[in-house]
Amino acid sequence: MIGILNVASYGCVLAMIALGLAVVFGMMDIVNLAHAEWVTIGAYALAVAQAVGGKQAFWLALLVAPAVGALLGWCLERFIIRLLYDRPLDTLLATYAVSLILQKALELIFGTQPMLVYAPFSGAVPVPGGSYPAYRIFVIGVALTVTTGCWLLFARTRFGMQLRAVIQHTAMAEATGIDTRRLNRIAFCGGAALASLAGVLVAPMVSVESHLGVSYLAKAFFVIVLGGIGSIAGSILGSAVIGTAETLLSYRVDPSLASAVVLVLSIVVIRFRPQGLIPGFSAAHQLLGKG
Amino acid sequence: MSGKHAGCLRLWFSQPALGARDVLPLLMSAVAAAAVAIVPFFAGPWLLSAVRDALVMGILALSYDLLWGRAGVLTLGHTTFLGLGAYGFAVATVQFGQAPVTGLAAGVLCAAAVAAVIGYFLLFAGVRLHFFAIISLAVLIVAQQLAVSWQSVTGGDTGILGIPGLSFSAGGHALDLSGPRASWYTVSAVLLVATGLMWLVCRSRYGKVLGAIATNEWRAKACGYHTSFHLLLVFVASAALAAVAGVLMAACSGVVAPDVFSPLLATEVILWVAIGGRGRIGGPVVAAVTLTLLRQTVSSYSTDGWPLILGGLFLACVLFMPNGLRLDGRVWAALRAGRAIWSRPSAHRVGHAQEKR
Repeated sequence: MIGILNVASYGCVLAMIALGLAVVFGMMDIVNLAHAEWVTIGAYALAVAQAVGGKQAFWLALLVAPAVGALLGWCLERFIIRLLYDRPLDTLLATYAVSLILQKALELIFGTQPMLVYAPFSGAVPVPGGSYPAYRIFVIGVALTVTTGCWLLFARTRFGMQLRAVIQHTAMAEATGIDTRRLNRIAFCGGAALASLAGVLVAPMVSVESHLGVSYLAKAFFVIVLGGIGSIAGSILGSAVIGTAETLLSYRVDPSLASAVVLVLSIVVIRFRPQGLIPGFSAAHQLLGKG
Repeated sequence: MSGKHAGCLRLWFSQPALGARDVLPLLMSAVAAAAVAIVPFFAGPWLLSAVRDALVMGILALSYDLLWGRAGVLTLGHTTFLGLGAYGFAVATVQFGQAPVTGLAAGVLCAAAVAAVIGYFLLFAGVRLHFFAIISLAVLIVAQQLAVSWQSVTGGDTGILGIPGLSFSAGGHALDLSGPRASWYTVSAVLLVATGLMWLVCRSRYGKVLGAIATNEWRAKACGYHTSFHLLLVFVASAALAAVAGVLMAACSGVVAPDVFSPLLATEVILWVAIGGRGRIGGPVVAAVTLTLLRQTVSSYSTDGWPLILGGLFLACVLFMPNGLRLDGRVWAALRAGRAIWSRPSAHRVGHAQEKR
């Protein structure tokens, strides 16, 4: 039971980070390597809020951090990515540079030592086979709610339909009167906000440093490539698979060896199923089907 | 059968006749060779070792230029192979007590094997562009984690100390390449030979094939080239060259630490090639040497400043100079302009010149 909960808490956080990436990747064909920094920004926002307002400022940070993340995401989109829409590989490099700058800027402002963050409540909940920290169950709950919400938004609303249309065929969507630029911007900010929220949620469970997000980023990309680009269900399934594999493996072997094994396994899976576990519709597939 | 293959190889690497276009590269490589031979007589030991380390980075830039500039494969984790080469050499010589030559072979083989496996699974599956770049970044991060945590072999955070310099011994003669001057000549000879080889390959038919794949893989495939195989070949060759740089780095400095796997260095590699001009041969090497020396200078003032400068330069380069600095293009343009002013050509001659181009 505890094992299942561990898998769930890791997988859910991974899914939240991967969702934003997946939508941006599928829609705009943009690989946002700075996405990891938004996780870090969320965690730092929590640290700042708690330094000012005490332990219970967590609830405030839960609202403020996504707003900060969305605002910074808007800036990134507005000032850098928009200039590079027709050069997709260059956006990858540009966001990489941005992530480097942000990481170092955070270090310069806040110092290199880990920041202090607290969980808003402690205590354990009895579950079959022992007890489990209440905060982690809270994280699972929030992450599940947000992920389900995103899925509903994507699958059931008019806005979601427009998003899917842009992912499938941008030019056609534009021809039917969808403002793709605006939608891109909203999706980008939304993804950034999701990542910041995930940052707030994971912060009390890990040590908050400037390179907190990087390990999640690589995993999140694997989730997307494994799950299928441009499909929400794919990224959720992918995070479940990778989260399970990594958590279960790290019981047996060293954690870094576990990530190496997961990496190798995913590479092998990609060899035989390049379109991902649940293929979505995306221009990126045409690139993948090239070889 | 073998005759057919030999004929095939000759066809691939057949060189066009020397022409006016080749004068500048040949002249520049002659100047570089002369400079390399003279420098140790003027430079002090500190400067010599600093420039030598920068030249090692030049080899790394060359290997990445082959991969990204020529074949169009963007990776974010090229230093994985630098690190594998360095660690392979260090582990073989220090932990297993082998001769440096064996260490060199171990490092290069290790990197080439890893590249072959990763490349086979990804390139043959049709994974390209962003996907390849991201997965290579993940490989780099995992390699770094392994280097830190696998303490019994890699020495953990401190890395491996006391790595011997390169030396060869054959038939009773020993050739020691570990002294400051000897290692300088070794590094610069490797760099010059690698540059020359790459120039020859790029001039040949094979270079044209690579260019075709980089420009439009679909069409290259339609022309009958097994593009995945060629990309894999280039990937492995580039990894092996990067591993050679790694071995030289480990042998020259005597230490190897998990820093070699840091994403920062991998970023610098991309920056060198981006600034020096993708697909050019001299540019990335010069950019690598210059920027490495710049990094050493900046780091002596402040250790935090360099990543910020690097990020800023990188962003500026991507936004404003997608084709690199192209210094020689500017020089040619200036020469043409100068000649035009000097000789005041008639309209007829201008038209003729345009036609020739």
